Parts: sequence; structure tokens; C-alpha cells
Amino acid sequence: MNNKSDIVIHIDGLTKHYGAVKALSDLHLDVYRGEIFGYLGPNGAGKTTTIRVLLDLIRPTAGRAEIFGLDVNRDAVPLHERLGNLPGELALWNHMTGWDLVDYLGGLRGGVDMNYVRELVRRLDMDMTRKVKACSSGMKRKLGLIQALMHKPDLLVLDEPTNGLDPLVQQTFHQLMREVRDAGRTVFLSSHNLPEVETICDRVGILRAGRLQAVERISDLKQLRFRWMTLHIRGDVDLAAFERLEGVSDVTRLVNGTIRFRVAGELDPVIKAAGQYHIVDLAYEEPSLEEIFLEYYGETETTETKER
Amino acid sequence: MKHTGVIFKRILRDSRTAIIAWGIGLAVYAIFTVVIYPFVQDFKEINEMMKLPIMQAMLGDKAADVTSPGGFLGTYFFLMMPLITAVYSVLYGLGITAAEEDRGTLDVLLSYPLPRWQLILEKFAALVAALALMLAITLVGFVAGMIVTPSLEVNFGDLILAALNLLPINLVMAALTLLLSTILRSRGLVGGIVGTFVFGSYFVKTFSALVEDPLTNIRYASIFHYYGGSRMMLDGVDWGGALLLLVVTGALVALSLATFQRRDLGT
Ligand SMILES: Nc1ncnc2c1ncn2[C@@H]1O[C@H](COP(=O)(O)OP(=O)(O)OP(=O)(O)O)[C@@H](O)[C@H]1O
Ligand SMILES: [Mg+2]
Repeated sequence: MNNKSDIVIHIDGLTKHYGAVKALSDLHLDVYRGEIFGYLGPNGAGKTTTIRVLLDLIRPTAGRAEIFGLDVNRDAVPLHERLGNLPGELALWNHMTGWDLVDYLGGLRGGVDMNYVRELVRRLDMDMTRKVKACSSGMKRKLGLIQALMHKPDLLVLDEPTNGLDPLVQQTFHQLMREVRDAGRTVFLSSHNLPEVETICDRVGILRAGRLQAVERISDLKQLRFRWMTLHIRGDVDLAAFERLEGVSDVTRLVNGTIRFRVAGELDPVIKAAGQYHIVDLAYEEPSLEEIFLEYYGETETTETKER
Repeated sequence: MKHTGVIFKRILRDSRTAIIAWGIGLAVYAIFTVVIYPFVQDFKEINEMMKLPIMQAMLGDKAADVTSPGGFLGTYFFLMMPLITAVYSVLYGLGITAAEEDRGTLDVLLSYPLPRWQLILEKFAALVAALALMLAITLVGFVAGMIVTPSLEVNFGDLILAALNLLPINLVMAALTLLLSTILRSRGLVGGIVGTFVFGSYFVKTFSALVEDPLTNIRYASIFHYYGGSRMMLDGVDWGGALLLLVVTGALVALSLATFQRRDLGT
């Protein structure tokens, strides 16, 4: 893997300005065949902008992008034959039923394998006789997934695909993505949700304010993962007892009897230490994307801040 | 060009109800016009009335003899028709790209192997078909009306030609709407501009017959000048004018393709 011939998406110096808004600045990124690439970033980071450039819906201010070696603008039509897209803000034709949609959009692909469509419908548990206007947002999302997947494209470009899907459907979605990858096809998906990206993606790119901050393998990122733990303890607590523990840092006392600290690595020492006390409650939080980011790139970040 | 006709068929299928409803509405208008004819026919004074400046300003140039079948239909039906069908054509023009762009369905459609120009051309072709179907239903209304009104003697062939002549002016209105909607981002603004242009065109046409003044050269900017007026069925359709409208339509559509091909969607 990671040969030049395995590059599916090649983004080279991509820049997009909307007037004074610099939505994307000099983006360089390669995505390889057979991987699920997670594109992470806070609101307004430029994820949708990147995707819309890849789909030739908007044109870059500078730079270029290729997919399968084809220029996203000049070769848009042949390229779109091999591509499935789920927009972030999905709009479908209200008067159509699910089946109408498959008929219309399938027609634009010169027909699709109806057996596979039926399989998708069954697995996503979608009622295809319902009109779009009578669909809940999660149901519309399922229709969006069906149309993106139905022709088994070589590349899936999905903008926040699980947004609005219930946990059960999310599981099905994750399973579908793994099948796509195992078949040697490629997935590029954007998300806000780090745990989700961790479960299904192979690599992740972190975008912030239009700049790509990091591209990492999920396995590398996981080694650096940490959690916030909050303990509500009855009786007196010795903060120092926790501060001494391996992997624990930033111990603070909140209101009476509640302490909060960061845990990296194994939990065992913390659990053993907490065992000494009467624990009323325990909360365990995923760090936000921002925190992971700061943890990972904290130093460069602070120097940048100082320079300003 | 791939999978040609998918958009065309889909649009026509989705417009079925609208086409039939519009066709029936226009047919009813045709029937009412025709059955009123016997009352106008014997009312010769009406021609004097039609020469009143106010009537000429409203209904047109060198007022036709409205007691004659051709003059009557030209004045009371065909002169008015483009103002009515403009509503359909302008709304349709907004629906070609602007409505789908605003709603966001274009983001789905154009991520398919479908060039932007093909989307526009197929939708425009569907408009021609929709108008033709609507006018065919209208002609059925004429036939029904003429059966009960034998005194309205017009050649059915002339009627078909007059109906055909409605196509170019409607296409030019839709094409102008399309072009403006690919440039300006507000559907309301585009509708307002085209609406003003269409009604302006109409009054320029009718008023310019009234005043003999070099300033009336602006009549050449009126699409009704090329469509024809109340004498359309007496003097015959101005095919040169119709052809010119078709050429302008082609140019407007070509310009739309060029502007739409180039720009960002949904911004
Ligand atoms: N059409 C537009 N006109 C002006 N600014 C825009 C336009 N589209 C996006 N932007 C700006 O570009 C930046 C990137 O937006 P984008 O939609 O790509 O973010 P995103 O990462 O998809 O965010 P979210 O997670 O909220 O979907 C934002 O600052 C946004 O305000
Ligand atoms: Mg977005």
C-alpha cells in the first residue's frame, strides 16, 4: 500500500476563499486505495468545502485535486461514474418515494443492481414506499446512503454520514463501510465524532480553520488517547494520592468531594486507588477533538500563539 | 453524453399534473372566448370603441376588426396568451437550476455522471414538450367551443399555426429567466425583472402603435413586437419574428450554459 499507483485522492495546494473568508488554505493530502479516511474538524473547519471541491460543485481559488488520476473539474463526468456521494445537508425531491429515487438516480447511472439495492434497503431497514417529505431526517439519511452505495462505487465521499442515525443504524453503517474497504474500495468521510472515527477509520486528517493540522494513523493516535475522569467521593480525599499515580495528571478538586483528573494509559492504578474510598459516582469522558489536538500538537500550537 | 433522456422523462412525468391543469385552464379560456363571439359579432359599434386610445393602449396596434373571427381571436385570445403562459414559463425557468440549487438537490444530481450543460438542455427540452402538450389541450378547447359556435369561422390550420407561434415567445421568456437565475442568486429578483420585462414588452407593443414617434424604436426591444399582435390571425403569423425569438432563445440558453458551467454552486 501507499504506492503512487494506489493514490485515490490527491489534493495539491488546494485553497478556497469566499471573499475574506479563507475556507481552505494550501491543503495537501493523499488518500489511498482500500482505506477508510476520516476527515475531522470542528464546525467551519472546511470539511464540506473540501468535499464540494472534490465533487466539482465549487471551484478552488488555487491548487488542484485529482481522483483516480482524473482532474476533479475537467474529468468530472467519467470520475463521477466511479464515485458515490452523500452530502452533509442532504436535500432530496420531496414528492418522490424511495423507489422513485432509486429509479431516477439509478437511471442517471444507466441502471443499478436491484438485488444489491434491496439488500441495502433490508439492512438499513428503510421503508422505500414512503415519500421523501414524509421521511424523518434519519430516514432521509438512509436514502442518501442507499443512493451513494447502490452502484458499488470505487470511492465513497460521505459528509457526516452518521449524523442523525440511531445507534443501531450506525452499527450497520460501520459494517457496510468495513465491507467496502474489504472489497478494496475507498471511503473518505467527514465527522465531528472522534470515537466513531476511531472505530471505523484507518487514518484521520485533522482540519482546523482551513488548514490541515495532522494526518495520522488511528493506531498511533490511540496510543496517545486519554480520558477525563470525575469521581464523587464521600469523605475526605487526598489529592496527592491520585497525583502520584502513573498516567494521572491535572488533578483538581471541584465542589465538595468531587475530583477530576486526566488518565492516560491503563486504568488499573486509578481503580485500585479509588477503591480506598466510598465512591458515590463516577464519570468518564472522551476528550474533545480540540483536547486531543492540543495534546498532540500542543507545543507547535503554543509557539504559534506566542508568535502572534 | 450519457444516459440521455433520464432528466427529460423525469421532469415531464413530474409535471404531468401541472401540464394537464394548465392545459385545461387554457382550454376553458379558449371555450369562453369562442362562445362569446356571437355576441361581439353583431355588435359593430365595438370596433369604434376599440379605436379609443385607452382600448388601443390595452389591446394593441392598428386594432383589428374584432367582429371578424380572426380579429376577434387575435385580440381577445392570442394577444393575451403570452401574459398568461408567462407565469408557467418563468416559473419553469426558475426551476431549471435556481430552485434545485436553493433546495440543495443539485448537490446530489451533479455528483452523478451528468454534465451541467446536459441538465439544462434536457430540462429546456422538457419545457418545449410541456408547452406543446398544454397548447394541444388548449386546441381541443377551441374545437369544443367551435362546435357550439358555428358562426366563428376560422381555418383550423391557422389556429394551429397561431398556437405554434406561442412557443418561441414562451421559450424566450424561460431562457431569459434561466440566464438571469444563473447570474443573480435571488429567485425573487429574477422573477421581478422578467415579469417587468414581459409586461413592459406588452405595453410597448400596444402603445407604440398609438404614437408615431421615433422614440417608439424601443418597440424593437419588445418580445411582443416579434410575436405579433391582434392582427396575427388576419395577416398571418410573422415567422421571421418567431425565428428571431428562437435564435435569441438559443443565444440565451448558450450563455446560461457558459455561466452555469463556470461558477460555484449554492454560494
Ligand atoms: N458559500 C459560502 N460563502 C461564504 N462562506 C462560506 C461559504 N461556504 C462555507 N463558507 C465558510 O467556509 C468555512 C468552512 O465551511 P465548511 O462548510 O467547509 O465547514 P465544515 O468543516 O463543513 O463545518 P461543519 O462541521 O459545521 O459542517 C466556514 O467559515 C464557512 O462559514
Ligand atoms: Mg460541513
